[in-house]
Amino acid sequence: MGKVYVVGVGMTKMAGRHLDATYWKLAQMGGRALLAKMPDDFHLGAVSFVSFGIYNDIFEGHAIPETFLNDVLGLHLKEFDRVTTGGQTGIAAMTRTYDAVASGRHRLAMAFGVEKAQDSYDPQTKSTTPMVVDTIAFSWPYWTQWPLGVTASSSYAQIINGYRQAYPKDLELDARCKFIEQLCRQGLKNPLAQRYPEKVTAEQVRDSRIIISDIRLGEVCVYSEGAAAVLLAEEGLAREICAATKRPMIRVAGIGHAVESTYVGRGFQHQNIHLIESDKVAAERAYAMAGIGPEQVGVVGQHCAFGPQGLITMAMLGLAKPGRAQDLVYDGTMMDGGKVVVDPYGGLIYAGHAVGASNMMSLYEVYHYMIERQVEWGLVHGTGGADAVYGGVWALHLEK
Amino acid sequence: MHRTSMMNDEIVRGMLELTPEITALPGGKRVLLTPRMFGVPQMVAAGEQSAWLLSLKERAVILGARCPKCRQIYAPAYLEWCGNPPCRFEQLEPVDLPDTGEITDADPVITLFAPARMSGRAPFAHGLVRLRDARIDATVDMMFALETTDGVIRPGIYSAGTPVKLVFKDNGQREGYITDVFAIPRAELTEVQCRKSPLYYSDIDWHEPKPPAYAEDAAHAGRFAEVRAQIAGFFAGVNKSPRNQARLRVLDFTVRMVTGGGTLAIAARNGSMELLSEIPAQTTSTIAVENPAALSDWTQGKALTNLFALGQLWLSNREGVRLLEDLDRLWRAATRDGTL
Repeated sequence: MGKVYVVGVGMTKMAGRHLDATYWKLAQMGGRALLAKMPDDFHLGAVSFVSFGIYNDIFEGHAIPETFLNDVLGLHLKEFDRVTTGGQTGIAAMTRTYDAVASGRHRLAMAFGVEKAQDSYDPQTKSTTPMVVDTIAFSWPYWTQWPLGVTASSSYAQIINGYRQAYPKDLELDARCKFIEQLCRQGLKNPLAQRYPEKVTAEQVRDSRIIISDIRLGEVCVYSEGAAAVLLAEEGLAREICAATKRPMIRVAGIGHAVESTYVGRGFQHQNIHLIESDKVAAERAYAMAGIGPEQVGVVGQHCAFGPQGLITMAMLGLAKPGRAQDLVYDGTMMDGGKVVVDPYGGLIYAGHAVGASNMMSLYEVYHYMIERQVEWGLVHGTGGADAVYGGVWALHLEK
Repeated sequence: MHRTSMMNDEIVRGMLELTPEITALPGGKRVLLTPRMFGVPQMVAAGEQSAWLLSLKERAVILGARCPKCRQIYAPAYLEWCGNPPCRFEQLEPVDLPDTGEITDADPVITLFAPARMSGRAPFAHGLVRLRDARIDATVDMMFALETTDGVIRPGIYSAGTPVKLVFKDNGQREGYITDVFAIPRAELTEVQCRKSPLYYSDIDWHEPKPPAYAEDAAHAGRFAEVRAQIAGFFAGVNKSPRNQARLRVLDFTVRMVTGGGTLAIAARNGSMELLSEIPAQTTSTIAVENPAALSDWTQGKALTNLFALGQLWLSNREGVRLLEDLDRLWRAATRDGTL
């Protein structure tokens, strides 16, 4: 396998609604954002492989919506496909793109995420959110869970409750609210964030309305429309591009993915409700491939869809012991000036969650932070699918 | 009503509409309304799910599937062949599962913000149940709707390990669907009910819930008059808010608020909020919270919804959850309009 480098990233402004754009224009907006950070003579004609991350067809209002994006982005006769693995769609498309380059079949390839979630509309409440939530809930089987009102929120809440059953002293409300406040404070540096320039305090999070279990609205990610793109290149071409852009070489050093059963139980293949085991295994695989341990990680772009889940994820990534995730808040490890920065520009909670593009947005955050602060090792994480069964982790290395 | 009769002409015509209508939103942005895409009437193959769905409909039994090789028991019988790789897709054997068990190792989830398909049905709960008795122990946990005989589902009724009994819709009422069955805490049932299998909906005593009886408390009683005055002042500010005025124009409800210091009633009518001088005989909902200071906190922006979600506020009916949301919006809207 050849070495693969991140040579370009771009993202649009994340917004609750882009009424000025269908997903076609959103894709072009993502393309323009990418090109804005590349040399003047660079264009997408140089790319020979593209993998799209698009969460589901219903959000886009088309079946196989990526079909049309080849024209929209000028990708005629390129190798081209699309990945969908729930909330982990973005990182799965990134890994597909990595493989295309690492195998030697392509020199320059692109992972591209785009999402138009908020066209879903609930005529009963005359608002979008209940139908967006409902649309995501089509992920559960029609004959068992779906009719019972299962949603992404309820599946995460169940995982959070399971974790708390095993570790009842973790995930205190105070730690959760401070964690969210920290993410939002970091998001104030990101004008592309959906919630920018909203200021959020821990008290506001604590006082916000509970939507499920004991989880507050302030702890939940925002649904977004937007696009993000990641360019990957083999080593020789990466050196040329990085020389032209005057950006350092950032290598994709480790990758891990895992899936677990949606069914909880005591059989060999059933989900352990006390953990997000797919994340744990994915992280272990990424560390092993990169030859590092979690203690070397300085920045994490994680799929924090729900604040308590974000803390659990830190434990699954090996950055805290299971049951001690809140220590990262209380001892300052991931607070201002701490050893590990999480979602340096706001993440899904503040910057946005345009599902297929979200993990690419996380990579955008980590990539820029690594360059800005000369951080040697960074992680990008994605999770999703019915009951968060897909886990994906990338380890990035800044070459000096 | 039989399910297929719901596929009436009007619904089907709406679902099959080919031509969306381009419409301007306030502000001039344009949207396409009601395109056909994904409005697809379906006749979904029940396939391998048929056996357990039919058992549910015809026998009021949860049919499971046991692997003769690895002895796993799937609940329900959602597979015909074992998914354990060494079993090489062995044919599973049908097995009637117990209608008893306990909540799996996680507190069940109570949903307050309903997705579109559950509109008006929040709060509702579902949870994973390990179906077992002395004879059989299913290795896969099965998800059920969770109910209570005592009013609205609320925290504290279920937790990890709570013993439950399955309750089936009555004969002739079951459709062969997962919503034909739900779980009830065994602690809410009599010994006779616990022993009966299957236990039907009509076997349960669905009593009218009564608000908690709070012991007389001088401190609460002393605080109550102050709280009444705070609510009156709060409503004065609320009713000046244009956001509230617009929303209250379409709302019409009364709420009895029972506290350990006394009872009061409020109403939304004629476009404003009122503190009523008398308690009406009938109200849309009753809420109960022991410490009247909680209502004082509400007038200062603390969400009543959160008190309910944390088990500190009692509600008489599901409608009350939507009303709590309406009541919680009053402060936010008035604050944004600067009228408080």
